[in-house]
Amino acid sequence: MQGLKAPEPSAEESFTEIVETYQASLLRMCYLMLHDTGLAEDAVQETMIKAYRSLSTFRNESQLKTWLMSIAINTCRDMRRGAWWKHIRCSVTLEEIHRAVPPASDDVIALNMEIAKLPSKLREVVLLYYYQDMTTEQIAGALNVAPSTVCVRLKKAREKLRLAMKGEAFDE
Amino acid sequence: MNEEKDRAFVHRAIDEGLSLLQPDPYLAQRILACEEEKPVAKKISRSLVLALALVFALTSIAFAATYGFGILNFHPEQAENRAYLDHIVSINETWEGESFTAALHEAVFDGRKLSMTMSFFPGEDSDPVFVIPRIHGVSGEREIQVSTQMSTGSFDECGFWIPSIAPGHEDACDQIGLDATVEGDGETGQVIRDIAAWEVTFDVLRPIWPIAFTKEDEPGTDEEPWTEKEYEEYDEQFRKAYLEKMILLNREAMLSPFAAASPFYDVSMEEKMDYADWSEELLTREAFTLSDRLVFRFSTDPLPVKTSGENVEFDLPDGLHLEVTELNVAADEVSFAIRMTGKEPGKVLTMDDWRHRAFAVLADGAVTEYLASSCGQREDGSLLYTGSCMITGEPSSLTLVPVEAGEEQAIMKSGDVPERLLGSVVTIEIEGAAPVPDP
Repeated sequence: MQGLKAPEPSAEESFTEIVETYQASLLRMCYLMLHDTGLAEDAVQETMIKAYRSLSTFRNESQLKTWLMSIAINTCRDMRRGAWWKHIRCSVTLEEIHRAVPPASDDVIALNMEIAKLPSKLREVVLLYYYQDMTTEQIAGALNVAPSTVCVRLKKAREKLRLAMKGEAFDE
Repeated sequence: MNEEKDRAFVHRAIDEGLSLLQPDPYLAQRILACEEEKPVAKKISRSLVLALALVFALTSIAFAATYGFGILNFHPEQAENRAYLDHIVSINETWEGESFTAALHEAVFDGRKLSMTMSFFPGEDSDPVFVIPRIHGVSGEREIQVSTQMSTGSFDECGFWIPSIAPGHEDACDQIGLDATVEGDGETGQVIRDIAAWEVTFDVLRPIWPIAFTKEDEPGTDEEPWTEKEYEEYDEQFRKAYLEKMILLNREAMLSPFAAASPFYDVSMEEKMDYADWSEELLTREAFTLSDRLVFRFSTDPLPVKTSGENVEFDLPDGLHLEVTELNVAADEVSFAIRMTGKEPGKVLTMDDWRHRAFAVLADGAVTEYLASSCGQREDGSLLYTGSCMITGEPSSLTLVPVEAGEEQAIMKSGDVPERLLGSVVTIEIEGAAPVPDP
């Protein structure tokens, strides 16, 4: 007897799953890029809209993630170039967020602050590599740069973070 | 192994530390609902393609033009000064940092003032950084102190933003000219006559606190100066911003009002506060972090500063005795110091003893323009008058004309000594002129 084949998920179902999988981490990543909760939410929404429109072109999970991150990074860059700097102040600062959540350990607060202080190019690779668990090749694809560039930026970022965290993490 | 540990640490830091940021449970549904009315994608028109090609071409031309931003673009008034042209040093060094690429093009030192031209090209997606220049020179065993003065581009009193965030000056950091005037001993400052080695440092400060702009322009105009109350109110917003951990800039994106108005600023120190100290000052406040430091090194052979040779002395009809103790003619500035004594030796003079109170400077073979002057009493009772003026051209002699305060500009503009003053002027031959090379 031949088994029944499970039906293919619809585009809507696939999209809903993508949003559920990536939304939280994208939101936090965008916040660390933009330092503004409202803009971070807008950036995630924009990213998801673009992803939905291109959903049919993705063949595997790896490609989708690279694309999503690429859209998110570019959206954040656009926002920094445009409204944010002319707009002026953050709606919620990192310090306020830390104050509002259950007491986080000092190293957690310190690391977030140090990541937020990194120059944007270094911050991007740190977030993609350490937080989005992407490989250097995937990051290179998302940022449209050479893998060696990603490695150099990661090295610089590690050095800065290691120094800032007083050698507690990010050893070579 | 460390990679995994670091990844887990970053995940924990961001997920725990930013747990307040929660995803929107209805985001997918909202997007799906909106996308049912999806707009039709537009094709790029042929005219848009042509327009983009034109923009690209113009950008390339602008880049090429910028890269050639030299001393003569900065000081075009020296285009005919052969000695000046002969002393321009081509540096053409570039530095690539995380936020921008910097290029130092040319420099020239006239013994009193170091002029440099440079360009900053911000990265495409770089966050703005504030750059503070510091200049240090050595000539032989002498340390050269200078005060920096930006002269072109979008600049603050102590530095500039890259990219420029001043409204209307977005492209202003690619053609920057910087003048730095020598300070130090002597009544009118130090004059350097030998080869000088320079170290030009740019501290790159990355803002940590959010940036805001004042909502209104500074109160008052040239015709209607602002009142004390208006000043205090305007100033207060910078102090308030500081306490709220926010960097407040005025409408020209200047940082100095914020720096000067913060509670840490000691008004009594105002005169001692040098722009070179601002970098440290701003970093101490934790509003910024030092993200980079770029250093350029080069040396200059100074354009010979012309002088009067020995001190020149002369008497005025009203009995005052004048001694020109310093007279320096640099490429574009004349500076001088004149000591005034009375008929009776040791008599303490006051400003009331000197009817004229100012000097106009006229040049043979050059044009002068009033710049600044001051007069003070010395310990021995004499008066010391110091002044400076801009000069265009190479004078063979200078004529000092004692005038009523306020008369200088009109007389220097006319270039003629009024008849009533003909008996009290002194003309000084200028020595040490630079040899002019054959064309």
